[in-house]
Amino acid sequence: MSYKLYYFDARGLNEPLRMIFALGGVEYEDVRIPLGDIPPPPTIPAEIKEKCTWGQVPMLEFDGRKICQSLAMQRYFAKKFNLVGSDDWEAAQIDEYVDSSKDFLQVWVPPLTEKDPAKREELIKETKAKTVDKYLKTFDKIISANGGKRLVGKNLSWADLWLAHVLNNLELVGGVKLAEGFPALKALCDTVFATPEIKAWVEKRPKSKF
Amino acid sequence: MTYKIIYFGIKGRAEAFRLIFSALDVKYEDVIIKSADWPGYKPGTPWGQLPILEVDGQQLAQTSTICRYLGHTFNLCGETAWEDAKCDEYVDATNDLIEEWIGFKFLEPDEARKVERKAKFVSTLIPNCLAKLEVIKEKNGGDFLVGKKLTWADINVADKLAMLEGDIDSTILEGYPNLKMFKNAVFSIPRIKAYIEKSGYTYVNMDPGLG
Repeated sequence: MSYKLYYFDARGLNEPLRMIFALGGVEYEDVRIPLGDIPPPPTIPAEIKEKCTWGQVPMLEFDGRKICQSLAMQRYFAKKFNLVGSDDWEAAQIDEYVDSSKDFLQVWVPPLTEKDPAKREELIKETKAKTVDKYLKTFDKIISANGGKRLVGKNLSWADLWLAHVLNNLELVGGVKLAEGFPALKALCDTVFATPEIKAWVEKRPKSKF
Repeated sequence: MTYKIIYFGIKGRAEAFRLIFSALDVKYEDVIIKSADWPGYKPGTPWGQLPILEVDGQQLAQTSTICRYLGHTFNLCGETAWEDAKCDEYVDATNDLIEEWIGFKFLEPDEARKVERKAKFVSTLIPNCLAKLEVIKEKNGGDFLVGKKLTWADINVADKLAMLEGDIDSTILEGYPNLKMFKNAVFSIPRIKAYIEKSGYTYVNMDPGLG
């Protein structure tokens, strides 16, 4: 089966899919659209955009089928590769933590795409303060209550991948290190990035700004 | 199993859950948080937000996650993994539209920007989304968006269409005959119809501070 993934040349919202593909051993054609100097928002080439159901990327083509919407795509493959917990309730908790991780990532987009250095400093400070209680403490508590390394259940889930990705991405994009001072968050990240397939993927993945 | 919906006294993000429970004739408690009580209640919630679903005392947050969980628990979901993925895709795509609506209607502080965003919403964002959804509905045939039976995605999306009709323009589905038929099919389901007839909630949030 041949897979063709269309996204920007970025980790962004789609990196968890590439991590899930790495875990599942999926070979795919990784079509990377140049991001440009955002903002302004990037342009999707017309010949790709017209193939995308909602005019957006990511989009995945395989087996004569097409799927869009990053979380829908990720959940489909997470299920295939047993990254969704052991029952409907665990799957739902995983969904909740993925949704919250995505909110967490999006809150950081304005500060990290701000071009004015002084304004950027200010926004980073503000966003750090805002996100400590809402996300860092909350996630740290959840992981600690679940044994200290994972968000849900006994096995690696795609929520672990998402949270580890967000924390890693903040560091790569903006030098923002939020896991310091949160031992459970740090343990989760270490566990995810030590997983052999993830480690191998991170070592070979294209370097991109975002 | 005991189910509680914890939310404000409006349709908003919880209406889809109430519609799902009604369709299934499953009992639930509607725990209403008054706006005056929200600041005190907020710190005790997982993410400082509502709605929350409580199942036998365990809490679940995030609107689409709750709909999807109820869909799977009560078999109002796809018949294959692929159909489930399509349910997710259509709900996520229409979420983008609703988030923009919430953005300009409740959260935009600049009046001029608000007018601008609403104009773009009406002239471009709604038609772009509905046109794509119309094609999807037509291709699927039958009454529903995915497969042959009612799913949580049908209820979720029909609710959003009703909300747009209610708040933006009651004729919004004219020009999209398949979506019109789809929405009517969902809202004609006897238990759903009965619930809507007796529910006193509105879509519009009376308190802008709640967002």
